[in-house]
Amino acid sequence: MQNTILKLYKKAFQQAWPAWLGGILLGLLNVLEFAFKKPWGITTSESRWTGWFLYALDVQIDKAPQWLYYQQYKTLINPPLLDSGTLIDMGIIAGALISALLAYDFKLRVPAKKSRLAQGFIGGVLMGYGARLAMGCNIGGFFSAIPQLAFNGWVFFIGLLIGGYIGAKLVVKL
Amino acid sequence: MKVLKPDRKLDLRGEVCPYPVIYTLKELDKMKSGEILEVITDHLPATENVPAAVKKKGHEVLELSKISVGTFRILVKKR
Repeated sequence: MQNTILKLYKKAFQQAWPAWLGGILLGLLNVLEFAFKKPWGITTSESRWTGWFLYALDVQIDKAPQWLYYQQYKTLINPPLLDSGTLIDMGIIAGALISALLAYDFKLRVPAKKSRLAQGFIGGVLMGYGARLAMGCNIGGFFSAIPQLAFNGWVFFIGLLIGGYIGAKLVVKL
Repeated sequence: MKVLKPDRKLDLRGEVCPYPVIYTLKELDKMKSGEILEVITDHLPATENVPAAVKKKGHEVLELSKISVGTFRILVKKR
């Protein structure tokens, strides 16, 4: 009995799930999110974080014309902790933490090569800039767009292939 | 049980994809046939893609084990 439970625990929490199972679950969860509010997205809310930060510094993002972006994306319509996208983003981080803890895999990892930190930072800036330029990241602009038969999802896909090719050539040299 | 003694060691802790695969293959290139390489990684995806990449090149994976929290050891025998 004890052995069976231990085996099940290992299978459910310590070993990687097959990719197809993860895919089906992500698809179903996205349908659920669509039914409740809107399809899954990540970076629209992340860009609101910058808006809230500026607002906290007394920048008039709700009025000044140069901050039209934050007005169009209704940054101040909800406080941060009532913004559904922000809650989902935080939920992802919390869920990943729980899953790493359950699998005994949680560990602070620091690259020996310090240039990796700069690489991560520059990559992050490019991702943030690109996600706003494309009005969505891999999730909102691709994973959520294609099931809705949104044409922009396929255009995004072509860009992703080209960018992925260039990135793969570049990253092995760093 | 026979204890396997690695000829070379590669500590890749802190490195994430694609570097564990790249460094492992580069190190194997420098080794002689039959020699054993020990790879230490704390990047979970590397426990799948490092064995897959070395098998594809015809090398043999002798061992894949968890040595401490979130840290793994992979033993590869060069073809």
